[in-house]
Amino acid sequence: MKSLIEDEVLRIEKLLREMVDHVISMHRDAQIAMASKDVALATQIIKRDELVNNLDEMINEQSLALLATQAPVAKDLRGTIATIRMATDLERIGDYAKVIAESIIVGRRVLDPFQPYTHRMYEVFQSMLNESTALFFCPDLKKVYEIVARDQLIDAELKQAFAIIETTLATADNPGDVLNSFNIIRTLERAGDHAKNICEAAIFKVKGKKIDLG
Amino acid sequence: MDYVYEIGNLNLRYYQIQALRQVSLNIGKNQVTALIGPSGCGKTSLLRTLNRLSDFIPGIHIEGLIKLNGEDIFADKTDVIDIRRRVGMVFQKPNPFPMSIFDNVAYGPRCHGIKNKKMLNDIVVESLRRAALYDEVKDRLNRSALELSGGQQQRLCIARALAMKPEVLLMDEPTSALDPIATAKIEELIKELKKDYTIVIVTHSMQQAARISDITAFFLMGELIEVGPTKEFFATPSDPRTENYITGRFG
Amino acid sequence: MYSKRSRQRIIVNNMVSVIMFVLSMSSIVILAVIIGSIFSQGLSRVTWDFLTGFPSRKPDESGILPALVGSLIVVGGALLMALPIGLATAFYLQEFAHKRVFVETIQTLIYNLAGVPSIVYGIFGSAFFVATLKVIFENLHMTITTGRVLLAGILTMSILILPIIVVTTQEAIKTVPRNLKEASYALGASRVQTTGKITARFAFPNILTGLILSIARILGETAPLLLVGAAGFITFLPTNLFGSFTVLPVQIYSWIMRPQEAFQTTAAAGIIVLLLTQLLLSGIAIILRAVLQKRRY
Repeated sequence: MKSLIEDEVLRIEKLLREMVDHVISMHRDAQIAMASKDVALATQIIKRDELVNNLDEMINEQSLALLATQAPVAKDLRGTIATIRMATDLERIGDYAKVIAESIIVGRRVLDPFQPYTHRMYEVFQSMLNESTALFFCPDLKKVYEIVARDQLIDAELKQAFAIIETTLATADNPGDVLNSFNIIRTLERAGDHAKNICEAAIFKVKGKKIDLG
Repeated sequence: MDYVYEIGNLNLRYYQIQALRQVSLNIGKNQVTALIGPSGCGKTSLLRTLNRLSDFIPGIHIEGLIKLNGEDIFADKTDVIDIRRRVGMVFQKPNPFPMSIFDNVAYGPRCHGIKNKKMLNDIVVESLRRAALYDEVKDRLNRSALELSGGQQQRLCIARALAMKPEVLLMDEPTSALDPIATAKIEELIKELKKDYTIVIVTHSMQQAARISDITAFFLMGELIEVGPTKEFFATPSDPRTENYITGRFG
Repeated sequence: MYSKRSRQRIIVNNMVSVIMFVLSMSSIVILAVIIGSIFSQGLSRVTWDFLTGFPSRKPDESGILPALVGSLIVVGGALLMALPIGLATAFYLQEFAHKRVFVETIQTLIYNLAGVPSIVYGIFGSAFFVATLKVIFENLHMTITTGRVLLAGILTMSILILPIIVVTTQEAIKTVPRNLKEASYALGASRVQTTGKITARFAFPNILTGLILSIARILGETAPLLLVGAAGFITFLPTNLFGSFTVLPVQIYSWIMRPQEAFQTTAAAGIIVLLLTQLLLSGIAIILRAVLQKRRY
């Protein structure tokens, strides 16, 4: 027999899943658009970001209503708080896809020396995103550690990219593109951090507290 | 932690109905311990054994140990009247005697032999103060207790219990018959009282248990399922049955 | 569709109300007729002389004082004996006794006693009290040669009203709310204290009901008192426990049995006195009960 609160919880979960789907495909598209300089695709990404922002707002509103009217406890309470946190992180991640799309629309490119880095970082980030969001709905604490560890790979790529930035600046004809490349790299690194946060939200959902993941 | 009550392997049966099964629980001093659970789970039966009002249940049969400050309350040599003096009780529906406010509060002390007018007066005033009722009734102590509102009557019953200077206050759903404002006043009062008394409260409202108790114990069909500090109990309960109950998933 | 049915219902309602009114009025009418005829017959005879006089061969000089005094003494004496025993029994059965079988046995016996016809009490009183008193008098070498004395009447009436008192007191005790008693016990009061301070106090007005019923019952008893010695002609005040006595119904009966027409009038007057005495005594008790019930805050 379903209870009142179960209906509300499922409704909010549905919104969250929608948000996840949007954000994942936004970044898939962004990676493609970056490689093929597809402005049309990039425009679509920006439109979708609006949807994502709306979903975030709706999730916040409905979660607030749930807290106020149902006085949830235990898993409902932890789940609601974790959902709000995850929505915030997803919204940020969506913004980053928008940033990348905007750079494509104004004609910026990623310079060749940086492309291997951005490619690898994007791959790792997307795997983190896919798995951490799946984990939120099916928490498995063992997998969490493994996903979180991947963030370090992204950080390592950032450091290495950093090392070559000076030389690239000196030799490039278009400093704007150097900056753009680095912007993209930084964006991807931040995105990785937010994907890591989603893991923390998943843990909070189960444990009710933050666990130091290093 | 000082334990006021140590309950060990308590089994309570009346006729063929097993009300409590192997219940073991410790009640900490100067804490509010809440007993929650669905109707018929045994929490009220447990409360009544703590002051041996269970003696009045027809066909009652009790096994196990309950110690009040180290003494077995079911031992032959135990004076049940003394137990009931040390352990006060407040009931679900306010039940003031059909007497004046003063006589209500003075009832207990008079039963125990206190006749001195000044002493009685002091006891009545102090008890009414502690129950946060004195200011509202100080001009009409000789008026009937039945003229008071429901919330005031309940506080009168609390004052009446406090007049015996108990160590423990047992409360059986004390606010379930009251409106929200009266309920809030009594909950505030409980938080004050726990500084000087140990309180055990049975409540149907989980929100109430969550609001005012330090320790919450969950009962189901006579068994103690889970007990723990309230904050953790409601945020991360261990037993799935507990989680199902407090999240309202009970069919 | 609905309005038609409800019109029917209203008509039925009204008809039933009218019928019930007529029926109730009919019992009042019958009562009024009875009392009316008695009053019209005997009221003229109810004079101060009648009330303070003694019976005589002459109907116009007969007075009712001995019977009145006798009735009052029998009522008072019976209550004095039966109340303590009856109250104690009721409280014991309700509040103190534990063994259910024991309680229920006694209770059944008492309930059955309450339904026993008064004549049986008369027979018992005659066979037991009268006979025993006679034996006692003989052994104590007293001058009284018979057991048919006032004391026998009082004793017989006291056991007659005993079941009434026990039953009504038990019912009164049952009306005391359980939560009041629980509150008292929870404060550490003993069973005796709780029973005295709470139960008895709360039940007292309803216990008076037993009193009221008993007064009415005793005042009206004729046959059993006849059997234990109430006489129809006494020229002294029956204030001696070991002496002859009479009561209002018996006196009235003896007047009715006389052939002279004038004695019928006297009997009617006696009935009026009986009714008024009944009214007065019960009235006092009923008012007392009402006052106490209001005063329960």
